[in-house]
Amino acid sequence: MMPRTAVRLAQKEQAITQELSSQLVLLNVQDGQYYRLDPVGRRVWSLCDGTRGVTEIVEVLRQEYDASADTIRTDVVALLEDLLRADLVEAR
Amino acid sequence: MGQREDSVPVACALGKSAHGIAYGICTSASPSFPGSGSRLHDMRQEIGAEAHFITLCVREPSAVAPDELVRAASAVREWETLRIIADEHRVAAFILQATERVSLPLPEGVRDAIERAALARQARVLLLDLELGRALKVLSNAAIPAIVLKGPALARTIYPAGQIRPYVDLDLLVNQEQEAAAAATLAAAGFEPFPQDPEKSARTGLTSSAQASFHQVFFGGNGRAPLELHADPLQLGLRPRCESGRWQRARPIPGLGAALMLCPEDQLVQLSVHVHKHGFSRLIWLKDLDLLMRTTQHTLDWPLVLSVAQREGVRASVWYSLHLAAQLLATPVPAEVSTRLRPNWPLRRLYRLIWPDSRIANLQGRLQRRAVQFDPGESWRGTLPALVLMGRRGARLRVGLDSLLQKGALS
Repeated sequence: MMPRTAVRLAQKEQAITQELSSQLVLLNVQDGQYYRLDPVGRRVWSLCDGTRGVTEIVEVLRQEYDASADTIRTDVVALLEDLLRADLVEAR
Repeated sequence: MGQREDSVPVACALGKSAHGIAYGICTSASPSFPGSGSRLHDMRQEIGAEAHFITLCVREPSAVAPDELVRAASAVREWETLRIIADEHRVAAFILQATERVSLPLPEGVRDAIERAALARQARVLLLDLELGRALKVLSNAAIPAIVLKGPALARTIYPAGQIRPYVDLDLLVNQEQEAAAAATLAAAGFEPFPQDPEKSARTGLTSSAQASFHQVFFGGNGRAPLELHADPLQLGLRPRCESGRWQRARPIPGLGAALMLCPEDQLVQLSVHVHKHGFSRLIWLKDLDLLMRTTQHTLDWPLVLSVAQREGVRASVWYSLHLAAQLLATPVPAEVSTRLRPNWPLRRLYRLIWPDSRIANLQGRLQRRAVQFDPGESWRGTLPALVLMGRRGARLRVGLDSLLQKGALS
């Protein structure tokens, strides 16, 4: 289910969000499931704007965080898999 | 991601994966209503330190010194109890904000647990707001004006940006003449009527001259978003006396299109009666009054408040609600207003016996509906408390006698 790097990732319309302290609440209005993203997850969410794929998202985070590209990539892919499985983002 | 926990109350439904994404399901806990839960009160014996700390966190920053918060936190022993109480009183987010403000560390795991509680509440708000928009749109399309009561209106006006005012249901007020049309419109839009409203079924015996419907309940959002349709914002069991004025004074809610909210004066009366009806059992309802007073204290038309409260027979409700808000949250209440609102000495004594300051300060307020709502469909024993404790006693007696005569004629 790992997102292919050639595709672009976009937030789905059924996801609505609200800030809560430094975190983000995500609600899937279709099934009522809700999620909390920590600041890094929140940043990844914001980058799922339909213009970037996994590689681009990892590259942005690599410039913003002091971590290796491999570590960032592993975490980003895991999170994106969660978001895809939760039907909150789609691969275009 | 771990395993989901479906079909459990929203406040508990949250897990966390290894990647920092927490999750849960936004569901209606059960077809229960605010104030109906007494579980917490049964399990608590001595919670003074927890209640004290929670209350201080809910106070405005200007009304509590940082070292006072730190001292109160050091007295807390039962952090899990604190989390449960804070969540039941819908103030979990205030604990997070207050402790962040004074850089007060919480024991390991506590902050996360409180964050989860706040998150669950916020998820519910997101879902409710979606359904609120939908309900307002269909009512507007049907040319039925609606006033949004309580949470969603207050969240958008008196709560500072970024501060959380959770709510668990929606309350819409429509004109009594349009109540049936509004109900039909909502039902046609997919809001499912809830047939077993205990309050509605309890209104048998009311004469047509005193039609005092409490509310109808609908569920939107696939059963996850309860919506109460009201024709009387005070729900006292008597025909409201100030309804036309309330509608004339209603004002738009920023960001909610054509939807209206009560003006601050009517809001103050309505919130006071509501918290009184629920036995002062949620701290967030006193916080509403606190913020309303703080944001309008210099512009509030007190003669109007006094007049509406007097005419509706709820002067003592306003007095006692403001008294409690001042006690717990240091709400600014002008002394002369308090003096003018307060009832006579025996009644004041009764209020303090039935709703003791100490119990409410201990966050153990309890629903005592019969003491506020009047329903002659109940026994005389059931109607007596409201007859004694609330105003408009003549009207209550007349409705009660009418009901008695009707019952006699039927038997």
